Amino acid sequence: MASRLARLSARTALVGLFSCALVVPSAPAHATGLLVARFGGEWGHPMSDDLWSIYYNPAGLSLLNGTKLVVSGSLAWRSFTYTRDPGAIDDILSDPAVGAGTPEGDGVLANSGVSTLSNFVASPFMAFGTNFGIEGFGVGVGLYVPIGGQSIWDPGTKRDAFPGADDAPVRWWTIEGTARSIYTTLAAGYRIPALRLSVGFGLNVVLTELDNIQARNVDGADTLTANGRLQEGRARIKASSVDLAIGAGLLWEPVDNLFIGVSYQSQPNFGEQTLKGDVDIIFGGGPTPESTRTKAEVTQSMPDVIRFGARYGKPRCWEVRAFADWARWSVLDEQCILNATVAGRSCKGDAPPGKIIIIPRNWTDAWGVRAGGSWWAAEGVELVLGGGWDGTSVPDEMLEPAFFDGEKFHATLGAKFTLADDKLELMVEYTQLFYPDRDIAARGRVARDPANPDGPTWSDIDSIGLREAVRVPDAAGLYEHSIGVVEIGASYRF
Amino acid sequence: MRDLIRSRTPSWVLKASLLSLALGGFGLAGCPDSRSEFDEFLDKSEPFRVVPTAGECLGPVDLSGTYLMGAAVAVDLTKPIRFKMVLAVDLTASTIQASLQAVAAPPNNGATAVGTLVGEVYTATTPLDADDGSFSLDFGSIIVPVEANPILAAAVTAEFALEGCTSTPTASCGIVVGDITAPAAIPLAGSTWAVTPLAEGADPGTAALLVACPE
Repeated sequence: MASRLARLSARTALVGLFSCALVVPSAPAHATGLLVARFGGEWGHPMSDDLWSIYYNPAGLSLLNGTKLVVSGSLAWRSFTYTRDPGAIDDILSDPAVGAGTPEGDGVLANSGVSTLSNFVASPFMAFGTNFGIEGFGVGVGLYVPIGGQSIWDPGTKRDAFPGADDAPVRWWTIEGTARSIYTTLAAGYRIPALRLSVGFGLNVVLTELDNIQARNVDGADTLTANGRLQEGRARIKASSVDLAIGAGLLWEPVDNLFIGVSYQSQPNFGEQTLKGDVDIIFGGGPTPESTRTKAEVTQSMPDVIRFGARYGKPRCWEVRAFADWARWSVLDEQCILNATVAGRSCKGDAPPGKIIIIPRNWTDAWGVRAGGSWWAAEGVELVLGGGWDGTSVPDEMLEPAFFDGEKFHATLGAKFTLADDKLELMVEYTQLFYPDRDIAARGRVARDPANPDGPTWSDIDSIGLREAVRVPDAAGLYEHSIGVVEIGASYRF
Repeated sequence: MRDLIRSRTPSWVLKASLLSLALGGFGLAGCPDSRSEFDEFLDKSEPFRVVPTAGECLGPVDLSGTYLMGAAVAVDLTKPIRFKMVLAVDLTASTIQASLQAVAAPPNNGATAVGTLVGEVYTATTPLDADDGSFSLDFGSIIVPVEANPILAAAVTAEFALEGCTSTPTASCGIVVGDITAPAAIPLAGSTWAVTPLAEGADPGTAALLVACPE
C-alpha cells in the first residue's frame, strides 16, 4: 500500500510538473530584474560546496566529495496590485462619438483603477553530481530556471461598451504571460590543493521563452474607441530560442573553513538573443480576419551576473556568510518584435522597417546583498537565518506591471535535517520578500500634433527620452507587491 | 526520531515520498494560455466589429476628374490617409482608370511640407459595371511613405484595392480591401474610402476630406 501511494504520488507530481513545463513566479523576482534564482535558499551562494554551485559558482563542485542527487522546489505565492492613475490615460474624450481616446465615465473606469494578481507557482531545481572518486574534483548536471517567470492577472470589471475592460487596466502590458530562461547545465570544478583554490566552469544550454498577450493599438496609445467604434486591439507574442551561456568561478580557502568565492554567469547567447515565433494581432474595430498571425522574431538581451562572498565557521557547529550579486541589466534596453518576413528589418531609427512592437526597457544595473548564518541545534539539525536587500533594475519612468521590479528586503528562516547516516538531507525554509510600494507619477499629456495644441493628446514620451517608434501607454500608478517563498528540497548522497 | 524514521521506514519509500513532496507543488500552478485569451477577445469583441459596405450603386456615371481621396484605415479610423486621385471614366468602353499618389500630412511628414505628393504614382484600370456602376480598382502592392502616414512613424506596404461605385458626377466612395503586409500583416477589412473634388490650386494636405460613404 505504501509503495502504491508513493508511486502514485510521484507520478501525479510529475504529470503536474510536465503538463505545465517549468513554472516560476513572474518577472518580479527574488533578486534583481527578472532574476529569480533562489534555489538552495540559504545554502545557494557563490561559496557553496553543494550542487547549487552548478549555477552560483561551479568551483564549489570540487568540494562535492562523492555522488549526490538534489531535487528541490521554490513554492511561491505572489500578491500584486497595480492601480493605474487616470492621469496616465492618453486622451479622455468628452464626446465618445468624436475622436480617438477613452470616453469619460465608463471608459475611464475601463482604462484605469485596480488590477490584481494572486498567483501560486513553483520552480524546480534538479541536479546530479559526482567526483568519480577523485578527491578535489566534481562534475554536475542540473536543470533549473534562474531567469523570468509567469503571471496570470485576475479579470477586471466588465463594462458593456468596452469589450476589453474585463481584462483589467493592466491589459496594456500583460493579461497573462511567460518570460523565462530554463538552464540545463554541465559543470565541473577542481581544487588545486597547493593553492587551496578551486576553479570551476559550466556550460549552459538556455531555452528562453516569451509568451504574452496584451492590449495594443497600432500607434501604441491606450485608445478604446475611435469615433464611437471599437479601437482597442490585442497582440499576442509567442517565441523562443535556444542559446549557449557559460558560468565560471573561483573558490579560495585561505585558512581553514574560510571560503571566499567569486563567479561569473554570462549573458545567454553572450549578448543579444533572437527568439523566433509568431504574433497574432488584431487592431481596430473592423471585421475579424481569417488569419491574425505573422511570423515574428524578438530581440532582447539578458544580463551577465557577477557574484561574490565569503563564509566562515566551525563545521557542524556554526557558520556565517555574506554575499552579493551584480547584474548588468543595462543591456536590456528594448524588446523588439519584428515581422520576420520583412527583408531589411530593424529595430533602429524613427521608422524601423518591419517593426511590430518595440517595448522600451532602458533598465539599469542592479545590486543585491545577503547575509546569514547557520547554527547546528543538534547533530543533524541545522537552523538558518538570513536577510538581505536587492536594488531595482527598473527606473521609475520605465516601470510597468508586466516586467515589474522594485527595491526589496527579504528575511529567511529555515532548517536542514541530515538523516540516514548523513546520506539524506531534507531542507525547508521560508523567505518573505518585502517590496516598498512604488508610486509613479503620470508622464503628462501633450498634443499629438504640435501644430494643433488644442487637439487630441497622448502621453509625453519625449520627456523620458523615448522615440515615437517605441511608444507604450503610460503605466503610472501605485504598485503594491509581495512574495513569499517556501523552499523545500531533498538530497541523497550515494 | 532519526532512528525511528530509519528503523521503521524502507529507504526507497522515504526517497519516493520526498521526491513526491518536492515535485507536488508543480501541479498547483496554473498555466498561461495566451492563444485562448486572444480567441476569447475575438469572441467578445465580435458584436462591436463593423463591416462597412460600398453603399448602393445606382448606375454608371462619368466622374472623370481630379480628387482628394481619404482612406480611413480600420486600425485607426480617426487618422485617414490622404491621396491625390485622378479618375478617368470611359462609359463607352465601361472602364474606369485611376491614378493614386500619397499626400504628406502631419505628424510624420518631417521636413516634407504638408500637401506634398510623396512616393510613387500607382495606377489601375478596371471594368465598370454597365448596370450599376460598381468597380474594383486593384492597385496591387503600394507603399505609403512615412511622410504620408498619419498613424505610424513608418512606411506601410499594402495590397490595396478600392471597391465602390460611381455615385454622382463628383463623388465616389466604398470600401478598401486587401492587407497591410509591412511592417505587420494587418487586414484592411473594415476600412473605407471616399473622394471629393480637388479644386485647381487647392492644398491636398489641408483640403476637406471625406473618408466613407454617407450613412
